[in-house]
Amino acid sequence: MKKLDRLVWAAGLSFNAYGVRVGLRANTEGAFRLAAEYLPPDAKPSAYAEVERLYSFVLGGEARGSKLRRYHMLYANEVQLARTFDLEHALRSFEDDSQFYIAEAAPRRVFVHAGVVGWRGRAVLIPGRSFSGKTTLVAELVKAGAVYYSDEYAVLDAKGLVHPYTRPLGLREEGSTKSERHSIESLGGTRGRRPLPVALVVVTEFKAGARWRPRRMTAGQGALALLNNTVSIKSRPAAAFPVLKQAASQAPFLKSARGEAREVIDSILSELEHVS
Amino acid sequence: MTLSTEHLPLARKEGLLIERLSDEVLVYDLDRKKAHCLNQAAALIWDHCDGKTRVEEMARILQKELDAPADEELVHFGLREIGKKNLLDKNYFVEREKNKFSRRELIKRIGLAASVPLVMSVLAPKATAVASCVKPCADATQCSSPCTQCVAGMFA
Repeated sequence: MKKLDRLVWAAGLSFNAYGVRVGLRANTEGAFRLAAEYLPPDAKPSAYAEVERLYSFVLGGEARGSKLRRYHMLYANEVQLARTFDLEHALRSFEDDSQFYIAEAAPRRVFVHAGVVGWRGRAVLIPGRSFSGKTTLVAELVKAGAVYYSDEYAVLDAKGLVHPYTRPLGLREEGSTKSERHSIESLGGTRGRRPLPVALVVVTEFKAGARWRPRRMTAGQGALALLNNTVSIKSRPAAAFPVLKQAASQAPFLKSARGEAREVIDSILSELEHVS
Repeated sequence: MTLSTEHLPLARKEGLLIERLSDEVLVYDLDRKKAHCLNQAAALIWDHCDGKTRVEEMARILQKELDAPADEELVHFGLREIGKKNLLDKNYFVEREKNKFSRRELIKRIGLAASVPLVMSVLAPKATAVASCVKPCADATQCSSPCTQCVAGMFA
């Protein structure tokens, strides 16, 4: 860390997201502006100089008048996260790591890996792992009029309310693992602002050609489904466990494999009409 | 399988987080990092594992509360299920010689699956297993937290 501290840092920021204090510094003003585009959702500038995790971003590239290319470098505290010529890779490393760190360290929130939309003042949660099709389903629900809350984490508080985590959607092209960032506004949607109670939890996974045959899960089975996607369950079970129970006890759970996302939207919305 | 008559069933208390839902009980085992969901029948049995209640009495309680046929075999089955998940006191001894009914046979006998004790379990996931990785990669040497592998040019 001392070696890093000796470098010249042109710009920096201390910010707070979900109760976690994080810092970002960069070797040029331009590098700082680039990295700041990838700050986690809900990051608010903070007056505290002391942070729990400090990201140091060194913009490389070609120096003027030289054929030498320098690596883009990213560090979290003293640990090197990226050393690459690919700027996008370095910036996404910052995005991934900062979001993940906050999800695990947030003191008063429990982060469940899930897509979330709002519908008439209540939330629909879609827990699931990467590549389960959460983001696609969220995007389709938004196109159907739902309010965007998250395509990555359901952020739950002690009362079981879901808070917005409105990062850009990471939509993957068909047949590709590569995702592109899309603002929700570019999809014609709006983003949620206030916390919502949970109305419905949909436990589903995309399987080509699968038929949507939803069956009800009990609250206990639902709680296990949420737990299976909870970031901090191993590190802070005493904080996470009651919150999951709270969320599970207030909403019905549906479980089914699904085919194309647009084929299940009507069923989900119809279910919402019943539980509203 | 029969249970020892020397000790009456006693629920494990240490190292567990317990949350109650309307009919079910959620248990998180801090030592094994596992979560369990006991259905109503299993929860009733576990609740009465106080070191004082005999199996016959548990069967009567089960029959009354579930309003369904319940006998000692059902309770023994439930105790085995609960014991397998390490939710009984370690001093409680389960003999393993005389195997009796399976879950399927019990459902056939009782005719109601919900009345058969069931404990569902989930191993707590690693934090990194529940994070999306969206950045491109060339090979696994580029992996950094929270991503652990490079699949088809993307971190996973």
